[in-house]
Amino acid sequence: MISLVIGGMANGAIYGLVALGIVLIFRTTGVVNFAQSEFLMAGAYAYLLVSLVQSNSLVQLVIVAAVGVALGMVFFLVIRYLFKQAEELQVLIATLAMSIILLNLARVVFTDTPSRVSGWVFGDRTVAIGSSIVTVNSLLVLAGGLTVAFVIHFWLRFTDTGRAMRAVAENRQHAALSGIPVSRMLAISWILGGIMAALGGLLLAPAVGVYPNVGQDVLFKGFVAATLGGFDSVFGAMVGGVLLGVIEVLGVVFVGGDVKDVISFGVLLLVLLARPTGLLGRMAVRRT
Amino acid sequence: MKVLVTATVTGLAMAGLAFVLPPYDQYVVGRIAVLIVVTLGLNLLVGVAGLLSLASAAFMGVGAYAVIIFVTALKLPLAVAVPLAVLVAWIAGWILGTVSLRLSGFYLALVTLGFLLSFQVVLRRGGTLTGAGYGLVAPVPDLFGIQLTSQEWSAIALFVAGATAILVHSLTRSRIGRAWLTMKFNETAAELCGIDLARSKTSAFAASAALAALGGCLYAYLVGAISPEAFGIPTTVEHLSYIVVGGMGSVLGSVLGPTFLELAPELLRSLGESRALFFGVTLLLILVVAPRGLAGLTQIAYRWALSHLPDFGRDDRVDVVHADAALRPLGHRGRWKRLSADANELDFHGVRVVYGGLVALDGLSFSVAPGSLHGLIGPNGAGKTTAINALCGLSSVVAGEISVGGEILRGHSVRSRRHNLTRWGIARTYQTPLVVPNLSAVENVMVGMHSELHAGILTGAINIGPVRREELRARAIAKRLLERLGFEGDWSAPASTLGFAMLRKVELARALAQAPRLLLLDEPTSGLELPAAQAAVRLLRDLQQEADHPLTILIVEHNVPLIFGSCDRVTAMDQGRGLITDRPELVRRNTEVLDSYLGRHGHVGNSGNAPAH
Repeated sequence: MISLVIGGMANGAIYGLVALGIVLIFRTTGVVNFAQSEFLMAGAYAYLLVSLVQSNSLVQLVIVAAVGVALGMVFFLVIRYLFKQAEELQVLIATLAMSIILLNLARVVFTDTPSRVSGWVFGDRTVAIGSSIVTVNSLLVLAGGLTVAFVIHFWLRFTDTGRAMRAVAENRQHAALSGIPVSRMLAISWILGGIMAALGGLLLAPAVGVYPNVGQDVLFKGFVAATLGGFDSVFGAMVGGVLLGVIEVLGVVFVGGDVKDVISFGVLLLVLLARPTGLLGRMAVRRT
Repeated sequence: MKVLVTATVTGLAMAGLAFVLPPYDQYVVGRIAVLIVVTLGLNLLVGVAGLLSLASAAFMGVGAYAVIIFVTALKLPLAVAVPLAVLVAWIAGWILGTVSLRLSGFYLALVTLGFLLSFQVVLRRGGTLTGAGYGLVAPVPDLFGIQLTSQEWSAIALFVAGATAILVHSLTRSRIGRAWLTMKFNETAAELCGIDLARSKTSAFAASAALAALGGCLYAYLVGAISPEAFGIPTTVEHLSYIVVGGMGSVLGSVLGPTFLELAPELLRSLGESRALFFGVTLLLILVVAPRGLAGLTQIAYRWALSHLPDFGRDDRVDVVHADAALRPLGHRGRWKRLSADANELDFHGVRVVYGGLVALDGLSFSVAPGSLHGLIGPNGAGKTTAINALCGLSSVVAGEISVGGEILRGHSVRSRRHNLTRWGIARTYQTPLVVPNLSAVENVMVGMHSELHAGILTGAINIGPVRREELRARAIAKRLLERLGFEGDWSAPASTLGFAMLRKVELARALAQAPRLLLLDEPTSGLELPAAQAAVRLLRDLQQEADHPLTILIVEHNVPLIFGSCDRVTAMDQGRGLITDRPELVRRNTEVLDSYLGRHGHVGNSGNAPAH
């Protein structure tokens, strides 16, 4: 039971990382990024490839993060300069299009066959908690996810750049008038979002393997986690993710494996209809 | 009849394709036909009604699975199974629409995505009923005892695609289509025209789901075998791409999108595995190069096609029978009841409206006599527009009462008040005209008659018999109204091409088309030059004379001399309260009114004997 719950929380931390990236990008740029899943997929492949040639964990981490930075930057440039005046829906579909491109590039290059990769730093080691055995990697995922959420949360709150970013999120024009380099803040959001997802890929890959659809399989849960957290709260996104992971596991235990994938839909509907501000968020779901 | 005949002819012409092409190409065009049907449905929902859905693949799957299950497990004949499958999807769409009624934009998309994923789970765990991961095999299509070849089935798909395109085109021009476009443009304006938002949204969902399912039925027998993969996220994304590439909200786009995106990779068959990659790149390129899609790109061809296609319901014939019905067009004459003969048309009793910490109306009281032209004046921020909004149910009243014709508007939630407004005979205009840019001037006016017309989705699409006559009558009345208001410009061009003064006229005509007892005009002359403004007010007077029932007009204005010169009575407001309601010459001399305009508040309180300016 304990191992199940820890496993659920670890899954949840991945949802949380995806959600965190989505929320960071959405807050500042107003773009709902449907390609977040492909950021994660790219991170997973980067980790797979780099672990073949380099055993130094720090180098692996840096390279995976660099892939996230590069993707975030590309998306920033495309959205900022090619879709300057586009409507919301067009931007949304543009991120979908870029997601299709990345996904199918990966299919052509790597084929659909999953590859196995062992856990970052700790490999495939396991540890006993009470009577149950869990992989160290799942503890790492949980710890890593929570740490990242904490760091981002306090960074947004207590550093100049973090504050500038919140100002841009609040009102882009006013921020620009106060001398904040808006473009740079938007770029930073995209880059951070890219890093979050790439890290998610690094952490998820050992558990489920590396394959082109690896990100697609968690994207919707990332959205649900973000909604659960209120869509504007960095910390809420992570808590929402972990909570969703635990709810899923409990659902499987008490109801049965069949419901696992329907649970997140149920949670989403409940949150949207009953508590539209999410559990921790302040911003109301736009209703009309 | 015209629509049905055109639909049949177009369908037959398209079906002919299947008999002249070689076998493989028959399959390709059949597939495109299926996608056109699905895309037409999705474009109605996303492009016309403005509701973003990612569930189209799921509804296509509902149709495909349902038809095979009905035929193989329930042994129903195909001719019964297909309509039944479409009906199932209609109901499923209606339910999804109802559940997500209050959501919009991204959250709506999210819920529909969740629906799609849950449907996938149902298919994969459905055991022998859905064939789990393997899916189902379609039997040879058997229509009235005749076994159809794949060529014949392609022909049927093409016929359905052609006929559906014509019917959907007609639907977008009908009462329902106008309501959807108005709702997409501005939900408040739509509600105050008597459009029931909940009904409009669920019907858009249901219609879109039904078309997707119809496509699904055709797909199942065309391909011969279906599995869950065919109805997953990638499929839904392809459907969305078709409308983006083709053109949002355009029927032509719904045809061009799938045709182009399906044909292009066929022509470049050497691409092999990377078909999806090509798809993504094309989608991105079209988004950048032609944000309005192929239909927008080929605007000239589009215009040509529009002017050469039969113009359903756009007849220019003015209906002679009703030529005299200039101002009291449709519906039930004299339906407005007054509790007693001497009741006022409108009463505000101590109405209080609060926005957060700001008191916008602080016990506003005034009365408006039946048939009068009543001015509401006051400095900026006095609460004039808030008073109108409180009456229309756009602002919640925390204390006090509003009554119309002596009947207190009580027990009505803010929401229900909004779409009952037309029924109560209240119509309004806005400071900035809210005219739907994608509809013509005439169609915009017809939106005002929404609740008096009866066309539904099917009758509107077929446009036959009484519905057609009613539509023609409404069109004639709309034109007469515009004519009476001195509208100059193109009746049938999109309103986005009209100038500001004409937009005001279109909006006023739409309000008059609601045959109101009480007309609320929010700064109707702002943006007009003085002679035009004076003419506009004279026109209002004339309209009151011509109306066959007492037409009361409440006019909110900044232009005080204009109000004093023309209104029967004037209410002066300041800081959320009514200062005085009286004849213009008395209001003009009232010291409190002078104070509020000349800003002597402070002086009066402090020195008591302030020197006159």
